[in-house]
Amino acid sequence: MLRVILIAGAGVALLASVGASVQAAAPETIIQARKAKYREIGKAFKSINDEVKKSAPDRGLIGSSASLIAGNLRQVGSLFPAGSGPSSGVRTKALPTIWTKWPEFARLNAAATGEAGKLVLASRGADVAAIAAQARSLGKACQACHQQFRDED
Amino acid sequence: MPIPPKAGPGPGRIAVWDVPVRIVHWAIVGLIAFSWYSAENHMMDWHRYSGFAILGLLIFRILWGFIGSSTARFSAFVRGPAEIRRYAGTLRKRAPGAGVGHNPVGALSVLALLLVIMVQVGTGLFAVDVDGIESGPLSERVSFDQGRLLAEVHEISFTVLQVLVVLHVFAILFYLLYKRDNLVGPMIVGGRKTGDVARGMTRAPRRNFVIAATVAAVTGWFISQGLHF
Ligand code: HEC
Ligand code: HEM
Ligand code: HEM
Repeated sequence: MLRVILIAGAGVALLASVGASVQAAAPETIIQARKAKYREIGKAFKSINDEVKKSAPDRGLIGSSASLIAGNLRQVGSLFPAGSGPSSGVRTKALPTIWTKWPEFARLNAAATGEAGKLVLASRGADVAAIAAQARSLGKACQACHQQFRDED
Repeated sequence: MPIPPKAGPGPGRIAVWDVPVRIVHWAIVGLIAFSWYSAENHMMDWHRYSGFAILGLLIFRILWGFIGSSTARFSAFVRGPAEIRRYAGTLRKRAPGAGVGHNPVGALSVLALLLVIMVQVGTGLFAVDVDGIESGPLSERVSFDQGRLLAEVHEISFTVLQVLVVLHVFAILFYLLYKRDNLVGPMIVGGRKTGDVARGMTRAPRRNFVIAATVAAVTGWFISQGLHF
């Protein structure tokens, strides 16, 4: 039984690594995938700001949007394999410095993910001013990375 | 309640522009420059404050076009095509005009400038940036995609505004250098030395100023707060 599981596990791992190399071979797909993830993030952020502007915000919607952002930011961290920058020839705003300063990029991504997590927590309380302030902190965390690692328009 | 034309500021000057028109003009010039600077430098809080100030000034200027001093009124300078064509025919004459206030061709540029600034501020109120982070105070009333579209219109309209401002300044230079007519002086001090005294500006009563300024400030404030009552 144990052997079966080990073999199956090895098979899955092998498939996964093949999958990864297939992905790496097609920067086009990866870049499209990460842009789609980021666009979902952008739309979710607008829903948060829409609620924050209201006198009686829907805190449930803020919470679910913030956890979508946190989840997507976590996934997107793996969507920047080497070779998926502008050198791939695919249209992308990812700057090449992402790969030369990878630890900094990863740190900023973790920081933004953390801020999104804090917004999920804040949305559980009734303090609307605190929610608005945390939404601003999250926005600053996104912009900190964009100003360093994303091409302007 | 028209008040008889008065001699302008200083001896021998004919009044052309009242104080509110001059302050609104130069404040808008400064604020548009600042809006540009703050947008380029990602100072979006300042960009919004600056836009709200322009919004208030714009509402005031439009009200002033109905209840302001004679030269500020749209009824005084908006002319039909025949009048515009007639004036355009005299453009090549190298002499200062006798009229006080906007000439029929200049009026077109005034209206175009005011209109484009309205579009600029109006789209800004609903604009959303690509990240959904920065937005105008009314953006909660539009979808993400509509907000993005309006942000694109906001960018295009800024290009149009830049072109109009360049034309505006060239026209003023043309009057100064070719027609030997200094228009900038009156826009600063309010009056000019030559012209038809009988057609000098008639100042609006102070009460009208209080009304227009109050309506502009209150309306501008409510819009900047997202029109929540
Ligand atoms: C660690 C860096 C980093 C963080 C943190 C980050 N981003 Fe980005 N973002 C990028 C990069 C790099 C791109 C460009 C991706 C590309 O074009 O391939 C991007 C692109 C985007 C896009 C544009 C996608 C498109 O259509 O071109 C949006 C929207 C976006 N990010 C929103 C956000 C928001 C909102 C946050 C915060 C919640 C955030 N990002 C946090 C690095 C980051
Ligand atoms: C006459 C006044 C204004 C001028 C000259 C102006 C100019 C600009 C410029 C040049 C940009 C940068 C466009 C870009 O790089 O994408 C911009 C962006 C923006 N402006 Fe304004 N603006 C004005 C008024 C306003 C107002 C009143 C608001 C709302 C309160 C506003 C909200 C925005 C927003 C949200 C953006 C970001 C859009 C984006 O990044 O796509 N603007 N503006
Ligand atoms: C952002 C830039 C500018 C905008 C949007 C703008 C807009 C306007 C508007 C709307 C008017 C009509 C005034 C009114 O009736 O209220 C006007 C008039 C005038 N502006 Fe500007 N202006 C700008 C820059 C300048 C500059 C840089 C100068 C100086 C060189 C200038 C000089 C004048 C003068 C002299 C008039 C009066 C014209 C006349 O006699 O008919 N403007 N401007």
